[in-house]
Amino acid sequence: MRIESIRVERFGRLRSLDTGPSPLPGLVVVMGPNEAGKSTLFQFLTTLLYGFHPASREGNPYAPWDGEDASGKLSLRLDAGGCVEVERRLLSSPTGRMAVDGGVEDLRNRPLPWAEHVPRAVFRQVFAVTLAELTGLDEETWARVQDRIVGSMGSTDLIPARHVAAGLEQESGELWRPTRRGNQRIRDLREAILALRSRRREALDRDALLRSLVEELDAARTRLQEARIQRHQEHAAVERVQSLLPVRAQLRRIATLREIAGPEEELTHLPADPAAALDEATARVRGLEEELRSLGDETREPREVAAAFGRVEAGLLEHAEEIRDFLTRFASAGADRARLRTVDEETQGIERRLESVSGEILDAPWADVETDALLRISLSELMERISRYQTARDERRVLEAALRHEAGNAADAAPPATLAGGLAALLSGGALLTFGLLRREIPVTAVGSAAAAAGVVLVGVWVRSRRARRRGGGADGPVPDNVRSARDVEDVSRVRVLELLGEIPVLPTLAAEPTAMLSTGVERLQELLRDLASRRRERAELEARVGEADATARALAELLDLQAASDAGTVAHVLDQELRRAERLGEAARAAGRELRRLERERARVDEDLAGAWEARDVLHRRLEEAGGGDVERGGRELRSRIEARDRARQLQDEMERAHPDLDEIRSRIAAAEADGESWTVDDNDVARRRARYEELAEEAEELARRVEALDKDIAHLREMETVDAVDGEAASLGEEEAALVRRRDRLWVLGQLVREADRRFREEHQPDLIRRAGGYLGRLTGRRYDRIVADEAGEGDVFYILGPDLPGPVALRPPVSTGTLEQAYLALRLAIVDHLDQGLERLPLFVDEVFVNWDGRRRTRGLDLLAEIAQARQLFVFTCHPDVAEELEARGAAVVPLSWP
Amino acid sequence: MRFVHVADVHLDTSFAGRSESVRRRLREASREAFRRAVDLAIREDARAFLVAGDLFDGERLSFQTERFLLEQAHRLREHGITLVYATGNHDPGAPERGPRALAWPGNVHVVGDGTPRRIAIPDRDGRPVGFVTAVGHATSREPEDLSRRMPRPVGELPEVGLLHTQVHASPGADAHHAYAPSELGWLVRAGYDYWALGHVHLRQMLAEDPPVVYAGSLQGHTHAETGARGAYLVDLSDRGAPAISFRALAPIRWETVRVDGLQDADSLDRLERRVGAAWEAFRTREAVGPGTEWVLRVVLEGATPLWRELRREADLDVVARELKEITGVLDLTVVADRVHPVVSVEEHRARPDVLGEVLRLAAAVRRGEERVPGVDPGDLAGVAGDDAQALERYVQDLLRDVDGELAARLLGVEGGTR
Repeated sequence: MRIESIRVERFGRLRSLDTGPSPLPGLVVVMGPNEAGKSTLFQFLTTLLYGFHPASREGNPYAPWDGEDASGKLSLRLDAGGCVEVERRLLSSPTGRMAVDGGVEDLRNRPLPWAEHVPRAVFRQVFAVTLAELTGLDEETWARVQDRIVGSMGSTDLIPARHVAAGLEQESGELWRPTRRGNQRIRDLREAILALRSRRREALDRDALLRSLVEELDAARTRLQEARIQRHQEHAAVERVQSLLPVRAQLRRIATLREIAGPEEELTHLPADPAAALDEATARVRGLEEELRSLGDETREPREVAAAFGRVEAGLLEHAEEIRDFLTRFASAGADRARLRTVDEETQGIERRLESVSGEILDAPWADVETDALLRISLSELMERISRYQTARDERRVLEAALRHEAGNAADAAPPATLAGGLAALLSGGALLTFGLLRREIPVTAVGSAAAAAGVVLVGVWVRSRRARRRGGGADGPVPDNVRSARDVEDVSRVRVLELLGEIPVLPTLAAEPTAMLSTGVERLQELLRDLASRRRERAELEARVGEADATARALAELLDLQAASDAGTVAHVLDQELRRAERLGEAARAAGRELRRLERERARVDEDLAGAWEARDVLHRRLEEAGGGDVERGGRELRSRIEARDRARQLQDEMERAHPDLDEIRSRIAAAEADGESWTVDDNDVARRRARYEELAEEAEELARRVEALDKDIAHLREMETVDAVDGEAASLGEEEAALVRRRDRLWVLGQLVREADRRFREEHQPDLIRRAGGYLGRLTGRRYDRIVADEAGEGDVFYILGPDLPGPVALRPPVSTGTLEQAYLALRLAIVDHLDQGLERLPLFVDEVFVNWDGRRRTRGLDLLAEIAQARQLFVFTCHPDVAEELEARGAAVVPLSWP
Repeated sequence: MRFVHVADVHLDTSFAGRSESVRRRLREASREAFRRAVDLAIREDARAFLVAGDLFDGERLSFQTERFLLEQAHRLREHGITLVYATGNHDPGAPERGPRALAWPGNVHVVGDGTPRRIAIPDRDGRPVGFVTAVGHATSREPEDLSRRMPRPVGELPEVGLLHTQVHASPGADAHHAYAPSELGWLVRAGYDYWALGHVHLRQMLAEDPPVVYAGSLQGHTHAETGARGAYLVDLSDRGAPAISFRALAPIRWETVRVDGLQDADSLDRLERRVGAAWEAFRTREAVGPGTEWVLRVVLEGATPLWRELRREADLDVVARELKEITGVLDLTVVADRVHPVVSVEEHRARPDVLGEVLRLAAAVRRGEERVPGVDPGDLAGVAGDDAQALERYVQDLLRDVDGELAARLLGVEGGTR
């Protein structure tokens, strides 16, 4: 086929590439700088021929990154002459369409039918020859290339078949070889399996040994048991002589004693010595009787004590509370009496003072004065009124004095008395004022101040009168109004004072001229009267109490029938004494009562004991009498001996049971021995013989026990060791492993043979034609210096040889042959492969990339000439970035498709 | 009449396995299964315990196994249960080391001389509730149909036939030797109410009226004996409607799990997850209760990027160890003979190069159209003798599923996809 036109819409870096309407020739040069897209163009053409691979937009590296679809078209002319238009696009899935002879067919992503004879992988590898393949053909690489060239038809993705076959054979050889050479795993396994035979035999032997040991163990255990039984029998026999005999004798003695003791019920509740017990019982009775009598004597005294407490004492105690209360009150009555005397004295004193004070202000004995009226006088009011009176009087006096003075009695100055009076009033007032202030007595203070004020006034009057005298004036004449008024006021005030006093007989002087003395006196009288009244009330109370106490004393004395003095003090003393005595007697009587009760209880108990003692004694006496046939003494002896026998039998029985916890079993053995008619006579020889036999059997049993223990250990040890089935299991495992390895080995080996055979057939089929073609191409490339290639299949790999007309013989196609020659040979072989692959079928285009860039001029010329020749039969695309190469090829008829940077 | 039917116990038969501890556990499992069968008989108040042959391997009967058997027989005796034991080809009655040489207690009837014997089965009061007619192998290669020697039963009580035989064409029979062959039709017409058979290790009921039953092996011994294993509890009180129930008794169960679809398993971790998921799915389907131990074989198939590692024994051992830890089974082996690279073989089959040639040649050999030259019996470790047909079949079998590996080797694929 020939690609006549190429239209790339979008494919990788290629965009809108169009080779134009003119069909492309057989030789096409794609020229462009590096990275211009030459390889991309090759991929495009491959894609148009074979379809998108990978077939997804995401996986295909040539899908445009901007999201556009990779797409393009080709126009082909087939070798047979038909035209094909191919269009492909990579959407979300690839699409393809081909138009052939006017018909359109949906390709989807299938290869073109005319390209299917060469698989895509082969096309990509074989139908593209690059510079990289030519360079680097060193000896090692060339050796690898040789096989690939022929065996892989140039495919670069195959490992040489002979290498693969060798690898398979080597792997299989590691597992097994028919010969005995080298390490062979299967052989080792088989040897290991064989080695297990001895272990199996050993396991079988162990099993047999185990069986025999178990038999021996069973026998030993059986014999051990027998020996122990026999030993036991011997021991029993000796024991019978040594142990059973004494026991038997003892049992007999116990039986004899029991026989002596007689029926057990006849001895129940009897003491060991009944006669002594009878004596004791009798003595006990007597003792109890004596005790009873003593108790009776002991009651005498308590009775007397109880009797001493009589009616009188009982009455005193009955009224004890009252008596104590009286005594308490009597004590306080004494104080009252003393107080009474004091009160009388005080009363007398008050009365004397009343006499005194009343004499100062009253005109009658105070006793004649109505005390209540006197007490009703308001002292403050009295003082107030007296003060007013005095003020009024003083004012009157002053006016009068003034008048006298003014009346021309200039000579009459105020009499010196006025001055004296004034000074006296002033001094006394001052003293009272001072006294009152110090004592805080308001009346005294008021009186004092009034007196002082009067004094001041009088002195003032005298002074004015003297002044008036000096000025001149008289004493008699008409009374002025002021004076009169003053006098009225004075009188009124005086009357008011007297009104307040009422019927109180005040001294006339004071009545005419009340002074502070009056109020003082009244006050004093009031105080004394109140004191007197208080004393009198107290006296009355004291008298009442004292009288009451005396009455109580008399009542109690009468009540208690005391022949005592009638005075309370004596009564109290007597009552106190008698009450104490009655209390003592009462306590004693109570104690005596308790004692009597105790004695009574004791007596009752002793009485009861005495009854019991009598009964016990009588019973014992009766039993002894019965036992002795009427003779108590003889009965006592009889019973005593029987009891002794019984107790001795019991004692012996207890000793036996303690010494022989298995006494019942011993009895049984004794009974059995007696039933068997065993002899109870002691035979020393027999005992000695049996002892000796016992020792023998003990020794044998000990030996057997050791043997049994040893056998147990041996058997346990054998059981832990490997058994036949375990060995067989291991052998089976090794057998399985062997079978797997055998199969794996054989498989690997057969695969190796298969690969060798396929390789041989392939070479046989393809190599002659291929090498012949390659020889032709080599001749063209080398200018016929070398014109044939032959292969030597002997040895590990093919070795190609080249021949030429001027060579003496074949030259191995490997270094030190020149690199250039190797490259020429490689190219020749590659070109031959291409021809071979599609011979007789649609010839696919070949792509060559800068293969001549390192060749010298003549070689390159020959190479280009060859390409031009090949292009006549097969379309050839030459990729280059060298304009001169493009020119040379263009000169040979090539069309140039330029590629530039996108 | 109620009885327990067991067969093919194969005590002391060796087990292949990866380690001694696993093999020891497998050996113990056989005894444990037998002990459980005796427990079943005691618990269900059976009157008989029937053993249809191959109780042990006569050549390997160990002293300890003897003791064990006698101990179990004594247990049955203590509960008044009759043990009827018909010998098989592995434990024939003739040799002096065989079952007839053991000191069986009085409740045991060993039938092993080829002569049928009819044994009455009593209840606890000594009254017969049924009969068992047994015939045992005298030798290890009985050629005759022993069932033909058995008398036709008569009487009103249930009659059971006990026999170690290979019923012709029964499923699984081809895995065993055709000793003491018999015909199903004859067994059905023989007049017995129940046939207790042994020899074929696959548990199955060949007929229902009357029941002709293979109890199957009591404890599986190889990966070929998968599924639950145990005994049958049979009650013939109603002869017209026998009650037959299978009781799984084997403490260890063999199973094979096949795992394919490993194209994405490009690491050990992913492979383990796939296998783990397959195992869990299997466990869920089987609904096996706790306490069962497993010996598991994992067969990996198909394309996987790990194909080369899975072909290396050392790596396969690592995988097996890891999977054993994950699954928690008693033992685990991995078989990876049929894994191959993730290679699209079909794309390469038409190649015009040696790869295409190899693939075409391998297919031709498998079809029998070609032979691999240079392959002689002496060249193969797994072939003995000169049988050309056998050699050819062997080679064809070896070349099954090799295309992927061939393509991978020639393409130099270590993993991934080509």
